[in-house]
Amino acid sequence: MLEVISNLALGFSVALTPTNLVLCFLGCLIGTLIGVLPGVGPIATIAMLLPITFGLDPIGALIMLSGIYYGAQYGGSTTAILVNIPGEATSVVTTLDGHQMAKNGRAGVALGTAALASFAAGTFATLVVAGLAVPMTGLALKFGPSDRFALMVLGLVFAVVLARGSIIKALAMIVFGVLLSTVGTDGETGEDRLTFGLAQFADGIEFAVIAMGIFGFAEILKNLESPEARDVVRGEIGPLLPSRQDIKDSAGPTARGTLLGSFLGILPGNGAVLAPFASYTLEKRIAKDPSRFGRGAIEGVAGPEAANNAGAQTSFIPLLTLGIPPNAVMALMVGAMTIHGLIPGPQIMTKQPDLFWGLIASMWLGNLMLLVINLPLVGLWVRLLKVPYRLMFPAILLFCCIGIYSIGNKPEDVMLTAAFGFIGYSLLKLGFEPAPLLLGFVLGKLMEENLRQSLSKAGATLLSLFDSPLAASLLGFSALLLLIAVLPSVRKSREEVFQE
Amino acid sequence: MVKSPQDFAAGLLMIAIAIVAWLMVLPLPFTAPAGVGSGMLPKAVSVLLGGLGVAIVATSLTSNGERLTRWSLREIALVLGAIMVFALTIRGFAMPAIGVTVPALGLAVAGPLTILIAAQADRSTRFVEAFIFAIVLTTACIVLFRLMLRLPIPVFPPLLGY
Amino acid sequence: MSIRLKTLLTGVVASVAAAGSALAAYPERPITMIVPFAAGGPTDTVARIVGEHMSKTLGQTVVIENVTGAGGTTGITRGAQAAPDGYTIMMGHMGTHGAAPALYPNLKYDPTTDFTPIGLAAGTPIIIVTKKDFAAKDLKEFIAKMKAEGPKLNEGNAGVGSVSHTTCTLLTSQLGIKTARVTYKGTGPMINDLVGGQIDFGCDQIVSVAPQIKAGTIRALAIATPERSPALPDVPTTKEAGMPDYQVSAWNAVFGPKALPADIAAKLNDALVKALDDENTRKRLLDLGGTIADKPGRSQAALQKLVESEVARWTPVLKAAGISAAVNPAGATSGATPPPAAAPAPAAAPAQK
Repeated sequence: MLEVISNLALGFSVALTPTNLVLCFLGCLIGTLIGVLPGVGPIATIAMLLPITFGLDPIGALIMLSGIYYGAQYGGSTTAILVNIPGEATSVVTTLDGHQMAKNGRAGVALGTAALASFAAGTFATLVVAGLAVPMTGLALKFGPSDRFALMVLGLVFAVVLARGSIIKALAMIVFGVLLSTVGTDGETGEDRLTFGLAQFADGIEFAVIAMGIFGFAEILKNLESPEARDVVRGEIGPLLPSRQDIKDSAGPTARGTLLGSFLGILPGNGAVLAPFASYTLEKRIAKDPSRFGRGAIEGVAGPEAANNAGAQTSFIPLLTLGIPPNAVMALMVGAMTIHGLIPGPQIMTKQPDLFWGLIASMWLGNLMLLVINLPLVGLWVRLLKVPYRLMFPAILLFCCIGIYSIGNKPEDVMLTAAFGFIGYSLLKLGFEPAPLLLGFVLGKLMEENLRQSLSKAGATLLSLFDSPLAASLLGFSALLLLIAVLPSVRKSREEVFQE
Repeated sequence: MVKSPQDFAAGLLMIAIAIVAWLMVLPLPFTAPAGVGSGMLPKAVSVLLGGLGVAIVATSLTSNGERLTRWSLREIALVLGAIMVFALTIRGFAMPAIGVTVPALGLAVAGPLTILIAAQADRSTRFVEAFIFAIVLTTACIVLFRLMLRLPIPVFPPLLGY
Repeated sequence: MSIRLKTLLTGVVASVAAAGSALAAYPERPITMIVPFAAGGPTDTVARIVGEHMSKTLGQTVVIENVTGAGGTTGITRGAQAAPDGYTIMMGHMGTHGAAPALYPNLKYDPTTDFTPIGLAAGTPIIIVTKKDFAAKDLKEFIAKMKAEGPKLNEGNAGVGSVSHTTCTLLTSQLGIKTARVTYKGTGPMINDLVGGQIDFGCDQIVSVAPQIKAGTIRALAIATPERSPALPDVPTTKEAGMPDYQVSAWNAVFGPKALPADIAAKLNDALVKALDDENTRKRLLDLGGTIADKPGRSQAALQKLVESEVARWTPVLKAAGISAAVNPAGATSGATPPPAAAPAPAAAPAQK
């Protein structure tokens, strides 16, 4: 304990130098501003901004990049709430209730709740990283492919719970999402799957392409069709900050979300993506009135936002203690470190304690700054909703186009997004929800990878999936949860039949 | 008798997707010497999707639901058309199959073009307002993305330099 | 506004000037270097380090444009089709200019004829690594174990066409065995499971594995270069450890499109050579565990020779392993068994120091 305190003191002595403070602030600010543009998620933001840190010293550069990361993630939540476009997988959940809150004239409350929940989660997760980084790393390494497979299956079951309307239609969307995730050259054999013979599909479909298509563009088409629906957002601006009651309502979800996120974040194979879904599922399950979820429940913003931020923070643990990036954003951070001449690895903690602890201290400072930056900005963001839709939607469109183009500098990606816009619109017209599809897409990919890893090991059979007690219990739990979720709706539809 | 036309169509769409996917992955092996073949997941998933499609169709026959609503084709054409124009003109696009090469116009031209085409999808759009907005927004994008963030996004037609 | 106007004016003046005296003052605007992999990866890192110094020599910024996809071939295809004016160049790689013709039957370029070689930049040697408590302590024991129980050993790789995949294919093909191949999406997850002991061994670039080796979380058996790496002086070479034919390095080299005017190519080669002589650039590349091309190895002709020998080396190995990323799957893996790779005499590893 004492050691942690002295280490943190070292960290703050590094992070609190004027230069590093300014860099941290700049990173958070730029990250927020770029991340808030629809179509530009955290990965794209970091990739874009990576070169501007080249002139800095390594610690300063890393502090700024981490700031950009949190900032972009925070900005992404803002976009999810205001215009219903998730910048990355973890903000999909925020669109569900966050955007509904905005439609109910509570955009300011949603944004404020997100900021406060994120800050609380960030503070706790910083302590987790500082105190438990080493023991938790060992735990994460024990997770083998079959455990990760079971975890992803559980995640897919969570996706069912996200459904607002028909369970069976939500299931179809999840399955469709999994199907889309199998598009591309097979990583193991090099065979082409579902690519229509197009080289464009060889690497599978980019998350942003699907997300911007079925959320961003499809939403625009739907709004253009029904002018009354889109006007709701322009109605009353409502309160800018959460009331005492709002804070009271979100305290529990924030605490639970933080714990879930902190744990899932350290798991290899991008466990952090599960955090917001798990939190949402939990809140909906324990809520007195689950039907409020999907209609603007504040718990559905506070919990997932806390989980999301905690997970983002603890996913630094494998990077810092092992030098192994658990997800795409962390892989970019590794790249950034290498370009700055720092090669991340297990020794960074002992050989460069100033860097290690400085970064951890700056995580907390970054969270604080985000709060400082974002609370005043809430008013500005909410006022943006006053921009007439006839100007707003072409602007969103252009930002999305530029954002998607910048991911790989490929016009084909933009065309593909247009195609997904059409698909998304068709699905909306047929009463499907896009969120489960995105989830199926993200988790399907991870599930297949881990399934194949488990089964391509020497001597593996289908039964090997149950070899580890953890995997077996996770799979059992998933089956149970699925049953609980699906049975009532089966019974209900049967009752309806009998009533007639 | 179809009681929920929306669900009926939704189910049929899922069945259609499932069949197309199934046919496309038919040549891929279900299992491989290493365990899971490249065809296992797509095949299993398309069967599942087809089954869910059938179930959705079945419920549409028994329980009442929403009607199908008209598609706003004009808006779809204009919005998606605007996106396509951006994609085709931002750095030029060659389509050897039909012998057409779209010239590169860069963000300075492609940006306003995209905004102006898309804006037509909203009947309350006023041309002068949209035009001024397009110029202002494009300039802001150029300043932000090209000058400040230094993204390699083409700004002017190549004739005028990069 | 004034900046826009200025750019516009310079543009107009430039195009007029270009019409008058062709290429008198190359380069007169920023040069785009296509990196066919994502920002932050090993190739991107090399490109950014080298590009930064090339900008100084050329007097114009070298802008890095990451165009990812299909094992790097998407970006290289775009580079190959660009106008040969010296304003679009690319950072090629062992995969895009060596293994790709065997992996992608529908490849839209020929590495040996569709490019103007500019020069070899850097290489990152391949290291054979195992989990830390693996039964084989050195390469000799490893080879014996592989030959005895190959199919029972779990080999990690980062997916078809990745460096770890092609180089491990070369290893097993030289040993004449098969292993249980466990595929990951990228090097990170694979190293994770190697550290966690979920898989037995793998092959990868020094930059990805060196920190783990130094920390003792995985074990290095041998490095596939003629000489030991200063970054890991304790790791024996394959030559010392008993597998002298296994020489392989993931090299990165600068290319231009076909028919680049000779003076422009020479100017670019000169800028590259100067970058590789710069103390700071060298240090940054060596810190990564990279090898820098020696003077004769940096010439345009040497690069052309390297590409030809690499294509000749990888094609039989990969074809024999029955792997290809065909756009038409039917028959890609089953039919047309290629003649057994007649023990591909491994071309001399790229001349690097």
